[in-house]
Amino acid sequence: MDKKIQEAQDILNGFDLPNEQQNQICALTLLALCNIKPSDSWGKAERKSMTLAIDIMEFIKIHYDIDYKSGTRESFRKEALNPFVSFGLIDKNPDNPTLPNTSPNTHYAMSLPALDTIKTYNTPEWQITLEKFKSKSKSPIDLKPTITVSKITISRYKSILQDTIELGKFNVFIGANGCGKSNILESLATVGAERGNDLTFEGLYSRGVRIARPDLILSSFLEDNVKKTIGIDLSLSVNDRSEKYYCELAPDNENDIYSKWINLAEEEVYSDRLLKIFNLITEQNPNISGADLISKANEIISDKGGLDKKRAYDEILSEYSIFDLSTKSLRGISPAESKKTPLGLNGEGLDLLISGFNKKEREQLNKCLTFFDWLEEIVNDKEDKLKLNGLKPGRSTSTLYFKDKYMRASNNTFSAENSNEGVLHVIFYLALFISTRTPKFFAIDNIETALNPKLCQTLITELVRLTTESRRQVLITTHNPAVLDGLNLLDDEQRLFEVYRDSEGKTKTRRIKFKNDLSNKNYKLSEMWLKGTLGAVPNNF
Amino acid sequence: MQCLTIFKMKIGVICEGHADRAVITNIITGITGLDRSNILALRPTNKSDETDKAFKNPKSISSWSVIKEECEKKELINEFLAIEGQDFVVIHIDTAEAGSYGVNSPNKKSDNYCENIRSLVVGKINDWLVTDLSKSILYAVAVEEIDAWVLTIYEQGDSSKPANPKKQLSRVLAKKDLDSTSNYNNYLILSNPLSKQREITKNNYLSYNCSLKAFHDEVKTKVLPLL
Repeated sequence: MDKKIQEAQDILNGFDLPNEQQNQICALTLLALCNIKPSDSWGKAERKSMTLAIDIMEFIKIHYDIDYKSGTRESFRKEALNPFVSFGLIDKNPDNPTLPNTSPNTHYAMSLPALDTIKTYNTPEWQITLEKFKSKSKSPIDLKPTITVSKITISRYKSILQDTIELGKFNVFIGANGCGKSNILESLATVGAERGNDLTFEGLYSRGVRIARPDLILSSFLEDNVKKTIGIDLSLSVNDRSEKYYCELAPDNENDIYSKWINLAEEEVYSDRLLKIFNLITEQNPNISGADLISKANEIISDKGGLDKKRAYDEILSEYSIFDLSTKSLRGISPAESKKTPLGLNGEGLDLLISGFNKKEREQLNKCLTFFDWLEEIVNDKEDKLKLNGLKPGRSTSTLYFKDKYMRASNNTFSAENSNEGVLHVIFYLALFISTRTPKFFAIDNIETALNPKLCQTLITELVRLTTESRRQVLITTHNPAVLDGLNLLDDEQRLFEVYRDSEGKTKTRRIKFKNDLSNKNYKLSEMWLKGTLGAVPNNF
Repeated sequence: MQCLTIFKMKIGVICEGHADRAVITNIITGITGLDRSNILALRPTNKSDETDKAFKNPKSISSWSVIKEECEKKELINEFLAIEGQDFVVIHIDTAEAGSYGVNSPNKKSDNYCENIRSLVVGKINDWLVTDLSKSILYAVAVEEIDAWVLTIYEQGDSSKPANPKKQLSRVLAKKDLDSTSNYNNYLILSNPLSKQREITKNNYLSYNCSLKAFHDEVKTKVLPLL
């Protein structure tokens, strides 16, 4: 029984579905829709129209002995059925396409291309049919809405008393040490934790926030009568539709570093939402008893996944993290500090992510070969056999190896443990921007670590290209002037910001943009930064 | 105003020394309301590395020759002015060594000495620049030395007269038991009253030095309309 569920999960993984679409509910839904019982082979998979409540959940109960309660229906829809439809794995209402969305007769069936592919699972044709299916279907990253945070106003967060930043798709922040660049990145990670319902020490830390006691996180400039809340205001474009988001975060204990944070902006509207639900029920059932009213309200709230107002951008904001690479983590020789998947904040999990790359992703990754003139091939030794050949001392858990084209074929393979660190950093960034499983919105702190200046320039140009191609939005900090030379500031989506502290110590941000006439531009941005004409350098020495 | 909130104004300063920049910064922030962080040091900056410094004569760094060089090359000026919100560069020079850079000093005893020498030095700066950048340049020509501008705060009287304002300032400050060390932070404190319009009016600072008044007027007429 468990084996069949694992196989279903492996199939979903093969289809490149996000991790959330590879859980048990999704696996069981797939088994039900394919009519595969524990002893069946996948070749027996068949197309059958099924409703959720009666057919799918009943099938699971009978054949897999798991009795999901009616309250979990929303999870089935949200985690399995809706994404499966978007990805083209299943069809919705194939027998009656005109059914209204809320109809109790809503039904689902496997799509024929997906069914034909699944039938080949555990056969030699599986990889071929899978690639064929994937080449014709939408990428999982396309399932997510395209969002752009166009403007952020941060209030009372660490050194930022109040600042507004208008973002593009690829944003680079420069400034003196301690000017507050990372605080900008962290404010967005805090929003991510809020949207992920994860405003705890762990929720913030796992997104890359440097945790301090709440009274240190809240701006405490001497001369300002500071409100004891953090305010973050976002203007977003979600699939070209404008949206607004605002949170006002307060710690439940200002002096406790492990304090939970509460979004006062949401709390204020909970009572209104509850009242609306009660009104709706009593309008439809005027004589309902108090106990039934509460029970009915609970059912509705449970179906909606709680009282929180869900928004289309929640998942993308929730996935936002700040990557800050450590060579030891990339080499796989320090314990995985970040548990984030598929890529850890410090570089963990790179080999695993690459091992699951499809052909197209692998081709894109091989772009790395052009960045290093000595690099012949990136090898992913999934079964870790090279270790047994003595190619790594054994401290490293990474299965990545690199072949040096200048060395004898019998003696040219280096493990991640003892290879050049620059190549590990570059591969990480490429994988982060290429993979369909990595966040669509994220930040990188100090991107230049371990990279040659000329490589920085070329890498940035490539990352800008990948950002556009994969419809991502990124925020990057750097202290290396060469990074700036990879930017085309005439493209409004590529933006450069100077971060500085004013005479009162408050962090401010300014967009650096050229005036229209560049006919006399004889200088590179990197040179301008070093000469001080862009600002973003210490002014006191 | 929308434009300024996005592209916050920054003013670049090419000056002889860090203490000079402190005085200029106070004057500009006082008139415009800009924050100190909006005033960027273009020269003197670390244009040279330690090898250059070891190879070249240290005296060639941070003097009128540096100002002349920057005006003639215009590299820093053009680079700075190429960015949105960066529309002005202050060029500071003292007249104490005007003879060395080719300005024949008018008669010091004449009534209009201060105006005349300032005008001649502004003309010299424009000669160095060749192209007309006068709309973007804020001429901070200090008759004798910029210390004379600071002196207006501590001694009531024509501060363009003393032959050596730096020494005079030092003497006056010593009497008041104030530190006269010439560096950015100390001069920022010493010249702080020049950032307060009420103090300037109340104590008539501008009436004691025509070159200070001329710079003040320059900032008012050129920068304020853009804010």
